[in-house]
Amino acid sequence: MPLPSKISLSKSKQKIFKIPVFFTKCLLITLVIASWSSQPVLAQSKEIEPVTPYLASANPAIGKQIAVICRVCHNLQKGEAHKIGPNLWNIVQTKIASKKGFTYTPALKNLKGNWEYETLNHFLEDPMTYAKGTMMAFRGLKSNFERVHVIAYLNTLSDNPGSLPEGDQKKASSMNEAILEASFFGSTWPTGAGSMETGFVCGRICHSEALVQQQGQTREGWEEVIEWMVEEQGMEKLDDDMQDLILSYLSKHFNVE
Amino acid sequence: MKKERDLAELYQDDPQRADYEVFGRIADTNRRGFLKKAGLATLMTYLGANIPFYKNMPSGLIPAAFAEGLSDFKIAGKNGLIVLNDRPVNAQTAAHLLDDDVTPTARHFIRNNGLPPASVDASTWTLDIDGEVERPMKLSIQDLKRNFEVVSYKLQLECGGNGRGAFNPPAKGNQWTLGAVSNSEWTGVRLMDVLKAAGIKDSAVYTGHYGADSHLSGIPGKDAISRGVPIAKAMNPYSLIVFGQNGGPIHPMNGAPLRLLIPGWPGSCSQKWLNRIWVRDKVHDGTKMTGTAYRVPEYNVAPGTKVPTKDFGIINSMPVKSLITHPQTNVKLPSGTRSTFVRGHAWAGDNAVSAMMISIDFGSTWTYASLNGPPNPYSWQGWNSVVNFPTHGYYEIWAKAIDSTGKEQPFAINWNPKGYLNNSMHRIAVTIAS
Repeated sequence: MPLPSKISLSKSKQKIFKIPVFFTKCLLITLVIASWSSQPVLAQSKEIEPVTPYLASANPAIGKQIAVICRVCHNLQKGEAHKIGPNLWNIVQTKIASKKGFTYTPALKNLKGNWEYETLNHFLEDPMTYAKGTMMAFRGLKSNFERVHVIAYLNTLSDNPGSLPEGDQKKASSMNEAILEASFFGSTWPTGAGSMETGFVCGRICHSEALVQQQGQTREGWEEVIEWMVEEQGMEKLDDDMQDLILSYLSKHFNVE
Repeated sequence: MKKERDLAELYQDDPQRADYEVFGRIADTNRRGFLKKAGLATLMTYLGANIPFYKNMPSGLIPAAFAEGLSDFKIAGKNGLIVLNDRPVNAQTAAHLLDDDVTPTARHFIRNNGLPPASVDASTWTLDIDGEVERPMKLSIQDLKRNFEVVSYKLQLECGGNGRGAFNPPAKGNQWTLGAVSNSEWTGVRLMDVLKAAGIKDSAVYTGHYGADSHLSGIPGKDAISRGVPIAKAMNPYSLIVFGQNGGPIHPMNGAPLRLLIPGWPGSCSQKWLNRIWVRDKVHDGTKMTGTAYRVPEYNVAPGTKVPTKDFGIINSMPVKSLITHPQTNVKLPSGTRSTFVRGHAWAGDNAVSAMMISIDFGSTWTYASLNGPPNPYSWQGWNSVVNFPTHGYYEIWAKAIDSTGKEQPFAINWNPKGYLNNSMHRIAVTIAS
C-alpha cells in the first residue's frame, strides 16, 4: 500500500500552548534549605527546580542564544553602556543592585545578598513576582532548561568566570535524557542530535518552532534562511559548531523531501 | 518532509492543507503521488467508491478526498481558525467557514509579522501624516470621524502568501493553504480624503505605512513591517483608513483600533495598528518592501530556480481567484443523491470577476455558475450553482473564476521563489453512497 503506515499520533497543534509539564514538577527542595544569610528572603517562596546540579554540564553557547532576549534591555559585554537595564558583565555571584551608574528601583535595592545561582534561578523564572516593583517587565524564563543555560552563559561573562559547582552528573544526564524523551517541544518535534538546540534557538527566542515545522528546505535553503535572519532580523550570529549542528538537524528533519 | 506525522493525522488537522500537501508533497518514497504505483483499484478501495470519471483524472493527482475533519483551536474572539503558528500568531479559516457573504470578525484570518501591541487605547490613539504634504497632521480617531466622510464597504483582503503551502519545491514562510482571505465590512474614512486635506505635493510618489506592532526580536525601533503603495492606489476611493469591523470594533489581532484597508492588493499593504503614513518622494523602502519581500520574478521560472534579486518586481493587484465554501470538502452524500447545491466567492484584485465555471469531471467539461455582481467595488462576488451527478461514486468539484480582463484561474501554480500569488483552482471532494 502506498499510504505510509502509522507512526506515533500527535496533536501537535493543540500542544503548542501547553507549558512543558516536565519542568514544572515540584521538587521538595525549597529556598528555606539554602543558606539564610546569602539568600534574599522571598515574600512567597515558589518551588521550582534548582539549576545548580545542571550548570557544569550545560552548554553556554545555547545560553548565549537564549540570552538574545536579554539584549533587548541589557548589554552583556564588558564596558558597554547601561540601557533600560544594567550591563550584565560580571553579574553572577556579585552583589545585587550594585552596578555603578545604574539607577535601581527600590525593589532591586531591597534584595540582599549576591546573585547566587539559585537567586538568579528564581529571579529569572518570574522577575516581576520575585522582585515586585521591578522595572524588568519580562515574563520570565519558564523552563529549567532555559534558566540553566542562561545562567551558565552569564557565568562566562566575567574577567574571572567562577568555576561551576561540580553538580550532579547523574541528575544532569537524566535531565538531558528526560528532555529528549519527554518531547519538550511536543511529540511532533523530531528527537536526535540537535533537537534541543534547534528547538530553543529556532523556537523560543523570536518565533515559535511551529514556523520551522511548516517548512521544507535543503541544507542550503536553511542556511539562506539563517543568513537572512542574522543580516536583517536581528538574530545573533551562531557559533560555527552550533550552526553546523542546527543545519544538520533542520536538513535531516525538515527537508524538501 | 514531515515523516513523523501520520497521514490521517495530517489530514485531520487541516483538510485544505492536506489537499495541497498530498498534491505535491506526500511523504512517500516516489513523491510523485499516490497514484503512480497504486492504480485505480487501490484508489477506489481507499475511497470506498467507484470513480465515474476516472478516465479524466490526471495521473499524479492525489484526490481531494483524503481530507477529514478539522481541529478547532481557541483564540479569543475567533472561531474555527486553523493555527499555523503560535508565535507570532498566524491563523487561517477553513473554506467552509468562509461561507458568509460578509466575513464575520470571528472568522477573519490572523496574520502577524511581529508582535501586536500589548494594549491599545482608541481614545488616545493618533495617526501622523507627514512627508511630501503641505500640512503635516496628527489626527485622533475622533478627528477622523468628525472631519471626514465616514463610509462602510465590504472589501476583499487576501494575504500575498495565501496558497503558499502548495508550492513544490516549498517556498519559505507561513504555509497558508486557502484561508488567508476575507471580505468583512469595514468602516472608516477614505485615505484620499485625508491625504487631500494634508495637501499632496507634486513630488509625492509612494506612501510608507507604520504601525505599533514590534519586531519579533524585540529590538526597539525595529519595524515588524512597513510597506506602502503608489500614490494612485492610495488615492483610490476604496482605499480606506478604518476603525470599524462589521459594525463593531476591529479585533485586536486584526489591527485595532486603526488600520489601513487597501483592497485587492496583498494584505501587507493594509498596515495594522496604524500610527503613521509617510508620504514619500520615491518608492518606499521600509521593512518588507525591499529585497524579495512581496515580489515575484519579472519572468516565469521553472520550480526551484534561483532568481537574482534585481529581477524581482513588487506585487500590486492580487490575481483572480475563488473559493468553494459549500459543500465542505469530503462531504458524503446519501445514496440516491443526484444533485447538490454548490456555492462560494470569487475575487480579482483591482479587477472584477466576470464569469464563474464549475466542473465535476476533472476539467473535461465546464458549466457556468450563477455569479453575483459585487455589492461595491473591491468586494468579492458570490456565486452558486446546482451540479448534477450521473450516478453514485467519487467526484471532485473544480471551480474556476474568469476576471474582467479575460484571465482565468490556472490549474497549476506559476512557481516563484517566495511562494506568492497561488491562484490555482480550488478542488473539493464529494462522494455519493451507492
